[in-house]
Parts: sequence; C-alpha cells; structure tokens
Amino acid sequence: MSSSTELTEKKVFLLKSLDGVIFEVEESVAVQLEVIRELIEGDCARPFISLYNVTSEILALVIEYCKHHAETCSGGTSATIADEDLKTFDNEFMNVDENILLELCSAADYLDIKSLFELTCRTLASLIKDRTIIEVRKMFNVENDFSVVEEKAVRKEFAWAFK
Amino acid sequence: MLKKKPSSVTSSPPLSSSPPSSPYQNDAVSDDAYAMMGPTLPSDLITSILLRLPVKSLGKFKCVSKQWLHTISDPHFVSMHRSLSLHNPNLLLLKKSPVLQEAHMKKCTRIDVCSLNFDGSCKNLEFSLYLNDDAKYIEMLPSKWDIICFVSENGFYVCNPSKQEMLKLPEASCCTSEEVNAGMGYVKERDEYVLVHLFDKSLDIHVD
Repeated sequence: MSSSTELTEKKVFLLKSLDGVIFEVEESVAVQLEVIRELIEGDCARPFISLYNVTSEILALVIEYCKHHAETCSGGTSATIADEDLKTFDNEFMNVDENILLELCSAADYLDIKSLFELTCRTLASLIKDRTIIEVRKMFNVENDFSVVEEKAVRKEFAWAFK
Repeated sequence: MLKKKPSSVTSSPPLSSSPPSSPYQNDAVSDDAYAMMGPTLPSDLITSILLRLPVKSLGKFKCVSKQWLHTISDPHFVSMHRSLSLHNPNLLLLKKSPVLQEAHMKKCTRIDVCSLNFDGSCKNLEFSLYLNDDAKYIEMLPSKWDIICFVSENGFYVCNPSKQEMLKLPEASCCTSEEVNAGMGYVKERDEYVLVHLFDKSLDIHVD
C-alpha cells in the first residue's frame, strides 16, 4: 500500500473511476460508500476498487462530500453545531449544474450513500417542482407519447394541478 | 417507511470483470447530443425524485408521458409518497375572514392557507379557499393525514390543501348543540377517512 499508510497508520483505499483516475481515500470516508464498506468487510478491496459507473469528475465530488461528512461527524463538536455545519455544506454542495446533480444522484444510488441520495433527490425535486411539462420532458429526456387528444384529456382531468 | 432499495445498480460488485456498463441509457444518441441533453436517469431514480415532489407538481407531471402517469397513479407510489411526506412535515397556517360582498351575492368566508417548511425557511404553498358559509364561528377540527376538517353551525367541510379543494359533507346528524366534539381520522387498512362526531342529545336545543 502507499507510504501514507505507514506514516499515519490510517488505512487508505484506492478508488478507480470509469475514466481510470485513482483516488486515495481514508477508511472513514470509504465506509460511507455502502458498496465499498461491503467490499472492505469482505476483504475484496485490494489493490484498488474499480467504479465503472462513476466518472472522475463525479467521484471527486462524492469524495469531497463523504470527507466533509466524516470530518464533521468525528470532529468532537456538539451535535447542533455539526448539524448546522452539514446543512450549510450540503446547501453549497448542491449549488451545481443540474446535469451534475443528475449524475451525483445516480452515483449516490450506485455507491449506496443514503444521505447523498436523499439530498440529491430532494434538491432535484425542488428544482423541478415549478417547471413546465415541456421543461421536465427535456430535462429527463422523456418522449411525449400521448396523442394530442389523450394529453388534452389528462390535462383536463388534473386541471387542479395547473391552477 | 423505508425508501425502496435502489435496485440492480448496486447489486453487482464493482470489482466484477464484466464490461463497464453505463448507468445511463444513451438511446443511441451521439456523444455530442448526450452532452447537450444531459444524462437519462433509470426509471427507479426518476421515481425516487418524484416521490419527493409536492402533490400539485405530481398532478401536473402526470401529463409528461404515459409512463409518468402510470408511475404517479400507482397506489404503491401514492402510499410511499404519503409516508415520505410524514418525515418532512410542513407547517400549515390558516386565517379566516368574512368576505364582504355585494348585497345580492351569497355571503361567504375566505380561508387563507399558507404552508411553510417546518423551520419556517421556505414558503411552499399559498392560496385562498372560499366557503359558502357566513357562520360567525368556523372552526378547524383535529385532522389527520392530508385532509383538513372545518365545522360551522351549518355543517362540516373537508379541505384538501394539496389540491386546493373544499367540499361540504352531506348533513349527517341532527345535532344542534353548540359545542362540537368531532375529529377526522384515517383508517389505513381501508384507505378511508372517518369523521367522528360525539354529541349529547340531551343538550339539543329545542325551539317550539
């Protein structure tokens, strides 16, 4: 393993992204990724863990998120201050382009990071709640498979939602 | 209630030697188009996002596609949505005021409804409902789930704030006592709302 292991006596793991970039993360960060925790427990985490579904751009963000959460939770600050700190961090962390948000959501699901999955789903939900149907179709690449008559009927049935 | 376990994606260990599979269905679009259109999420992720939307947006998004209509109308989705909403409650503020109208018009009462995040940081909904009732006292009753119940000397009303709808219930009892002991409940097993109204017949006011 890398020399930092011997120096700090902290276990580190290597994560390899889809595009081949290798990230070194400490155990406290790695175990927040549920899939990786399982691999570590099963002693299958050597020499590195390949994450085929996550690009280096997204993996860097995911690691930043997990690192901040791991540090805040073990920092010895009171629960209230830690909560406030995480809230502020999460808010700033979610202030990214919506395509990045979609990819983060997908990565959080794949890596099984419950808090990040919840955060990205909620952020995406509040982002789209006031959007028009056409905007939402475009954002999620959904094809409109209603005929004109069908769409009119559905719109009429749920007219209360368009008020 | 627990959220549905994210399916398939996590079940195969990342170390497997199978060829890299993209989490996105590219639908045969070129890389350029892909970059412009953004990623396409698998349907279970879209469902997870939809589960966190307010009811009004869900009603609107039923018109997005047949698949979305099917997903949002699914009873399992509806019950998951309800359970999830309970973990993220809103504060509902109500203000009622009589509406002064022209003499020839029916008198009514306006109820202003405002819903806020629990910490008051964000306003989610704001609208007014009109009750064709000019009673002096219109009271809110203990209510459950997503329905608010009101009572006046003229009868019972239920309001669905998500749909911004108000409905007068059919007259049931002949209770005329001024004090109303009633409340709205919800029977999960039967998916029914129940209004329980307790009254003492001996308190009825009889006018000869």
